[in-house]
Amino acid sequence: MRFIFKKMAIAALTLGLVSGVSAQEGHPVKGSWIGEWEGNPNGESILMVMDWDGDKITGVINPGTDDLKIDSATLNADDWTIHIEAGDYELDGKFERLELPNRSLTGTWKGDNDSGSFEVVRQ
Amino acid sequence: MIKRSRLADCFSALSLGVLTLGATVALAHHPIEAKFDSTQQATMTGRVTAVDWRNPHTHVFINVESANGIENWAIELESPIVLRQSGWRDDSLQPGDEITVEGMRARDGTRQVWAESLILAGTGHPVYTVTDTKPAVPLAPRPTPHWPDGSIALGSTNGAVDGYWSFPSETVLVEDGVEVDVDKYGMLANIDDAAKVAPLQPWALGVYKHRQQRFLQEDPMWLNCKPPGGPRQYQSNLGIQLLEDKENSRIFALIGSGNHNFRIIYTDGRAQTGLVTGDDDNPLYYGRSSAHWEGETLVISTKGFNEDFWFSNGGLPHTSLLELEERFTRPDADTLQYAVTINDPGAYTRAWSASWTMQWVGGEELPVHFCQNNRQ
Repeated sequence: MRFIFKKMAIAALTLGLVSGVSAQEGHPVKGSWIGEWEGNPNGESILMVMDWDGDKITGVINPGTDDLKIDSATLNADDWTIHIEAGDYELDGKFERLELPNRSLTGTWKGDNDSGSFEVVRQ
Repeated sequence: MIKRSRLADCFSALSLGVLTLGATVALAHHPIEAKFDSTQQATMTGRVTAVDWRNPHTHVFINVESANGIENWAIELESPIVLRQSGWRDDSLQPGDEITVEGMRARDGTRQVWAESLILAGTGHPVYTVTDTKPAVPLAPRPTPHWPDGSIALGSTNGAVDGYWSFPSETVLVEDGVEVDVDKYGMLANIDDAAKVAPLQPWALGVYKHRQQRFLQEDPMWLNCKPPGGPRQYQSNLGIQLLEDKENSRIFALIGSGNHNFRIIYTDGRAQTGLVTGDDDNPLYYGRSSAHWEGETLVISTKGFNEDFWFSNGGLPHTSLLELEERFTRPDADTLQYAVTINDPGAYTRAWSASWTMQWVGGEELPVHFCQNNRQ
């Protein structure tokens, strides 16, 4: 019975994730990404909003009064890795489940004195 | 008693399995090669248990005797519309008929086959085969029909018999002058040809190759019934009907593929903006189109596309920066020439063009095909 409940929970979660995400068939970085960057003393929640203007990836991390503008982002479409520089932070990640609207980006981050892993999922 | 109980359990489980399989195959709408593997051929003989005559794909269920006992197989075919065009009906096969099937196995290993040949045992006659229903073109071209004001008619004129455009000479969007080996669904024979298809930016080439390597299985037109915006609407055998509303200066394009929706092309010179109440920030599947005539060519400018669909069979990506210039000419009554220039600086390194023709199918309305599980 526990197994069935577990299966049902996973199915419901999957359906919820898929149905709650808007389609995005254009540039794969475009959209809002929510997740965590572990070990960040300024808070482990991360929200990234990224866009593609036809020439470069633009965006902001944690929009608000203390937001971080993305200074540069370089995507490698051969292995779907990305290097992002925003203020004192650098993030290196790899896109997973590229074909889905709720694709994910996982990797590592480093700041002035801290570093850790991060994972964000497109909303 | 115990035996009966176990038998009942087995029957219940089997029934549930069959129902589940039935539900799965009935609900699934997909590009053929996303589900079936052309390199994995199967041949089997079995007895028909049911015919599910339903959009988007017909299914014939058969029982096949094997060393492990009776196996249930689902044989998948074209839509009822396509089969009906070839003269078949839902009762062309009956439960109990014995058939031999040849076709492609499902990629996921389930007992499903896409039928390339279905032969009725005993008679040896093929059933549910799709024949070329393309109407014969007159040996001498019929003259292009015109409206009373002298402009050419892109569809039927008032009082004339209805018709629509179908049978595109190309079903895959490839830059003019480029030769690549690609099938009618848009699958490249050689993935290394991907960069030749169009002048793709690196990210767009990566996305295109990723879609190809996944056999186009996430194509939102099939998976989610999203509209075939852009040039794709002119590359389906389900056709397109152009209704010219001269009085209100607009052309309605009724689209046979996708979910049978429509697009409006304005010919009154209006700007490509949104509603007066303001929805310019609401990009559309078919964009905003404004057209004018240059001699006997209708030139359509379209922009304001969203990024929620694939604009080509085969999965070429686009962005919201996409702008199209489409040109229609009708050199004779039975031919529509279509040319498109694609300008999308978000996905391509330069503007590029493609062109093909469509053939007039006179005397009938656009086939009613819906991307859903409605019975026809």
